[in-house]
Amino acid sequence: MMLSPFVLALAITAPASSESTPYAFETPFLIPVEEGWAGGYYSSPTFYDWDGDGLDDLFIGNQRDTCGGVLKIYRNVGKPGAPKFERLEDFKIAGALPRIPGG
Amino acid sequence: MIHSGYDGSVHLFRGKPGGGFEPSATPKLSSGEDMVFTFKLKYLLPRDWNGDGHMDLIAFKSTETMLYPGLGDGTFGEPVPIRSNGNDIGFSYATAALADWDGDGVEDLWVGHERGGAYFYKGTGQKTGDHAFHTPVPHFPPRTSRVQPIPALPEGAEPPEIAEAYGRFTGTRTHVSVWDWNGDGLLDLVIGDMRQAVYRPEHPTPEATELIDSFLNLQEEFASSVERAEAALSASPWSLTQSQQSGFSRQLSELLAKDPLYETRATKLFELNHRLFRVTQHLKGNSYVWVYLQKPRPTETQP
Repeated sequence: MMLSPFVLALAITAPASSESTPYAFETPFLIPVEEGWAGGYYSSPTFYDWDGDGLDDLFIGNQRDTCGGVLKIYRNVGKPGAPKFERLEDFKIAGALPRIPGG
Repeated sequence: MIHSGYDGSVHLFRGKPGGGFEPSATPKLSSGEDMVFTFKLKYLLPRDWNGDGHMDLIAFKSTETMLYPGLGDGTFGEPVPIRSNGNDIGFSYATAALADWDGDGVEDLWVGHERGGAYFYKGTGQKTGDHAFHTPVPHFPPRTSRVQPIPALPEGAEPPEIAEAYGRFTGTRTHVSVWDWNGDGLLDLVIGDMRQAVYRPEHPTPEATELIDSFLNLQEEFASSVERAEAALSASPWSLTQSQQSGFSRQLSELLAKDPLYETRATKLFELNHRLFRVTQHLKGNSYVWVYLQKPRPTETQP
């Protein structure tokens, strides 16, 4: 994977600033999973009850390489209000990773 | 399941009875043409947004957000703009989430930002047109403007430090999701990001030391020159609305073009970036998913 000059420019020109917010948040934390922290490369999370057990599961879209993405699926094996995620096999079609350009 | 590709392609995976999915297909417009977007379509949200009982698609593009109304026969009609107080909603390299965040019965919108952080758009209930959402409020501005240096990476070790390289705040290219993480009835934000760090090996060669130092010095010069130009325009791009951002970007480009060293620095910085990332692998990037729990809101006191 290659960082484009565009990405680099954005990264180094991002301004430091402070804004008041209408809602308050706790200090953020990372999601612990077996391999460390949930994430990857350009991670895009969303939630859906994949296995129909009443608990939303975690999906994270990632860029895999310059021409493909990957969708990681984490099954929620915790309890309501106390999620715990266990990685399943990545999303596949007919046994193969779909070729979706990520980024 | 529907995916938007980085290249503007749209991938629809139809569920099969009994489980599994059909191979990728491209949704069709009512004209019979494929639904394909220009480069940098970032996000698609399937939703019956106009309330007619058919699944629509909301397409978040780099320059605008459009509703593609579902016609109920698997195709989609002419797109309708969704705007914020008269301005387009458009952020590249980001995702969006719809939810009734403030509990007033109207769906609101969170959108990530390529620079990091997120914008909150309060819904008006109008759904489409110029005033579907109010003017956005920025949250979680980036806390650093530089690729972070990290010392002494042991040989062959995975770099856990990159998670903390920007502190406990989102990095760039934020992808926002809304979910009640802790079941307290308040929606929380779950945000994927991107962050980069430069690692010094434990026993660097003189060439590696020179390369890393050159990169760090040059990025400091480059970022400082951009910040001086931004200060001269008396504006911070982070806090600007979309309509202001396009004008600001043009003014900033014109100002930077007057700096005789700007282009040279940018070109050299890209070369060093390429060498560090692709050749020597001292520059690493990684994404993390951060959970921002919403604090309980103050209860209104009774008179």
